[in-house]
Amino acid sequence: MTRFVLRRLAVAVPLLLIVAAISFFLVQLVPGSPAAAILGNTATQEQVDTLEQSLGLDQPVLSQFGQWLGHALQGNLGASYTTGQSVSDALAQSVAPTLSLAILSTLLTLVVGLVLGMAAAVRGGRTDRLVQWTGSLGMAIPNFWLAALLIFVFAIKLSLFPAIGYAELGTDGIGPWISHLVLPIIALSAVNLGQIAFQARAAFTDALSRDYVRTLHATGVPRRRVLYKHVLRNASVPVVQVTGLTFIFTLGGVVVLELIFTLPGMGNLMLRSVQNHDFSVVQGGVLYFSLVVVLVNLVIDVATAALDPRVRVR
Amino acid sequence: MTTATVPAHGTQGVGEPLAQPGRPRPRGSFATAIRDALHRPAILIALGWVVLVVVSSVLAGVLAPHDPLAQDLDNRLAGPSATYWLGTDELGRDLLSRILHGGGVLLLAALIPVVVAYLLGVPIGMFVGYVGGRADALADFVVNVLFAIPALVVVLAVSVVTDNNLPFMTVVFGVIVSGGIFRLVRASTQASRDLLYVDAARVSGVSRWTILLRHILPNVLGPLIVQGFLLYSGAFLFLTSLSFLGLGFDPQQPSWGQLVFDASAHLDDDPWLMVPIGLVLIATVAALNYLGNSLLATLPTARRARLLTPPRRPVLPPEAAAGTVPEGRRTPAAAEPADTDVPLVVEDLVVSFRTPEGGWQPVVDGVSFAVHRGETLCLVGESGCGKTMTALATLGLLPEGGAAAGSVRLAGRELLDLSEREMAQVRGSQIALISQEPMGALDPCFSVRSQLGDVVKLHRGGSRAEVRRRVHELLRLVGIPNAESVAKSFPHQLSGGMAQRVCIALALAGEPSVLVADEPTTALDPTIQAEILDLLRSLQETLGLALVLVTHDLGVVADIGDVAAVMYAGQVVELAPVDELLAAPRHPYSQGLLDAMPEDAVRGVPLPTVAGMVPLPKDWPGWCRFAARCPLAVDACREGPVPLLAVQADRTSRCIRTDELARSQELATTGVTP
Ligand code: SF4
Repeated sequence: MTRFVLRRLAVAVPLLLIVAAISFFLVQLVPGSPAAAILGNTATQEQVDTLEQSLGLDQPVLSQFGQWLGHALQGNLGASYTTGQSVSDALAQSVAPTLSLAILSTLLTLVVGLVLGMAAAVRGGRTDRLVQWTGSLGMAIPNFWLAALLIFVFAIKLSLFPAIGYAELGTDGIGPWISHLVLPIIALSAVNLGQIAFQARAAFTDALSRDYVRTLHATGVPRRRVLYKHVLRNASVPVVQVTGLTFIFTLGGVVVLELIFTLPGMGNLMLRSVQNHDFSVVQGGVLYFSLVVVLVNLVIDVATAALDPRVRVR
Repeated sequence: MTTATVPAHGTQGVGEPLAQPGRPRPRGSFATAIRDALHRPAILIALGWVVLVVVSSVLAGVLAPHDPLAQDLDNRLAGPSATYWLGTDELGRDLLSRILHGGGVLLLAALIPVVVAYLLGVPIGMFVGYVGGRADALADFVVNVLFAIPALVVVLAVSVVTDNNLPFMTVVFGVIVSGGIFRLVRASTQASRDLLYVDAARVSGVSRWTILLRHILPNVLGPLIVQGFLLYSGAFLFLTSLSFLGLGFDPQQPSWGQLVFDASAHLDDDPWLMVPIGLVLIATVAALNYLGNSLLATLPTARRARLLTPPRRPVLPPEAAAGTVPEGRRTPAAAEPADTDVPLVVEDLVVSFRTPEGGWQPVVDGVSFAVHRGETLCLVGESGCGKTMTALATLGLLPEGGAAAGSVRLAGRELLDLSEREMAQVRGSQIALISQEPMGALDPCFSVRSQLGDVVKLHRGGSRAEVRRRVHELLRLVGIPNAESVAKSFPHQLSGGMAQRVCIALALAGEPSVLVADEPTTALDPTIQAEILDLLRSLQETLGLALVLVTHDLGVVADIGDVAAVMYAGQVVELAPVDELLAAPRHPYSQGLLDAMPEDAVRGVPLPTVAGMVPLPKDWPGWCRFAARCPLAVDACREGPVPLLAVQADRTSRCIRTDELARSQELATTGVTP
């Protein structure tokens, strides 16, 4: 198992480097100079030159990359072009809402999706159709529209949850923190839930038809134990893996929902920086988001390896 | 030689109630399935909606009652009216016109990622899947990178870099999602590459690209179309998100995501704004998804039966329980019900499966036999004769959709009347099963110790140390000397022979008196087969088990069997002591099996060399079921069902011409060979 984790880490590191390079060179594609873009149309050439110099943009691209990477490895992603604030500080401050939302939603969809998929596969018939219909409906509702609906019903009409904003888990306590996250989590989870439930249904259907089910029965293991111990474990492996694949789309949803629920997260930070042409923050943001994806996938790899010994040798 | 192609038709399993996995599907069935799908109302509605959306978006300029940008400041946030059918927004602009105008660009732009993903994924996937090796590893790494890229965030970055250039953003999105298409194509290519006909084509010197295009592409086409459809619907949703965020689309022109954004600003004073655009969006995505998923359902998937026992055991209705053999034509098994020397008695067993039409199709039709202590009864026959279903029915482990009637008595107790819970207590402790595929028969997620320990604990309890000791004892009992290390292994670390030994240990853990073995050696190497058979024989002797062994291999029967029940088309056609059967079969089918067996009876060599095929259950005739293949068939054989007839004290045969058969055998042995 330790060797497996080490091997996965060994793959994750070059992956991160490449993603870092992508996020750096992406900005190099800007037609013209970022400095000009920041300063707008009215800037004189002189002003642009000065800004370029102070940002180090006058140096060769590769040495810029080397410098940026060197700093990034020390946790320094430079300063925001517009506010002058340290990019890593800005990102660190906004990471909590984003991660809370993404991770809670992922866990929720995983658990509920497994339950729904299992019910559909095991019981079949009407339960199966019900799960399929709700799953399809969930997948068809755009999360931003669902978010607006939830705000309308639960925040404006029923006043059950706050419509917008965020409460710190550390300073405000768990109650306010959760109540600010309930609606965003539901809005975010609906689409993924359908997908995970479908995957789980397929995975359970497959696991239920495996020969070991018959072997276990033949040795006298009761039905429930076969289902909850053996079938559940086998079926959850592909489902957990798919959760890893859909996580990148979950993050996309987080960006959208942060905007609606005005959560002070990385998504909103990115959106603001995109509007302000704040390249250094955008660059750092892409890196941060990718880091999250890579870490989450690492966790998922380890989880599947813990569930299924065959994954460990791969 | 021209390119040899192996026909993909007619390879469907004989007598299997459900499709077998991994069989190539007849070509053209995808198109047929689509044609069928077009007759379903839900599909037509979904398709109709998509067409409506596309057409009205194209004709928005003509259809829209108002200019989508024209402001009517006196009628701000007005509800639906005769002038403004769906009401107006915060600037008094007509909602209907804005919706009509707001979908076109989205629907069009969502095509770009799909096209990009195809252009990248298909050729690269085919190439890499075909050549394999380094190219494969490299491409796989690139795809891993793509899968680590948060699409929306990168597209955000692209939007700032390209100054909100929508085509560029969609292309980038297409590149990011192309990994899915790539993997699909690569996997199918790898699979097709190994198929016989591609090999044949390769040998005959057809160029690589010709092979790829002509042979592999058609196989991938179905899944590819489905995937493209789902991708399109995903891209559409993605782009509406962008439009909602105010990115990529001209802020002056209406677009659907942006309409939701505008509406969300008026949740408290005009929630109506949300409704029309929401319904349009949901209906469109739902229709696209539904079409995609229906397409997906047309693809052939290996649907296998569930093996989990239902909470309540299904019961055959009386009319199905009788099977097809008329009353009074059956032969009862010759044993007293409570005879302890005869632990297993099966009488008039009928196994039927639910047909798609709602009826019942028998696959086992009135089978009777009895097994004595310390005796091995072999159920012999080609596949599709009902041997396995007979064996599984004795344990109450028929696959989903199957049900049994008749009588299965274990030590005098009627098993078919037991509830699932009672049956679970009988299984393992009184009757156990060894199945065909040892590798699949063990749960891959648990170690041997854990699986075996569970069963030991279930049957006799005990402390951890005791269970552990018993596990090792069992493993040694089945001839595994290094029990400690095997106990620690996981199923995938075991060889086939080793796994089968573990399965036997599992079966013995509850100390049953009857062991049912379903082709226990078929999946193994010939040398290992002999070892497993020896093991079974010695276990049977030391433990005094009654063994029911299902096999298609007369070599195995000769080796280990005491009594043989030859099965054909769901019935026992001959029941005889093994040595007598081998010396002088009294049924033409047994004779055929014997003739097909090579002289020096090599075990493991299959015997389907009797000309013709076992009829499918639905084609069983109302007379002798073997007549179509029988060299001795006469008109009398086709007059009605043939009962099991006694030929000797301990032998029965379902044939009216056993004397003829005996005579021909005599002729053959007296040496008058032509
Ligand atoms: S009854 Fe007739 S057809 Fe059937 S096996 Fe005997 S001889 Fe052949």
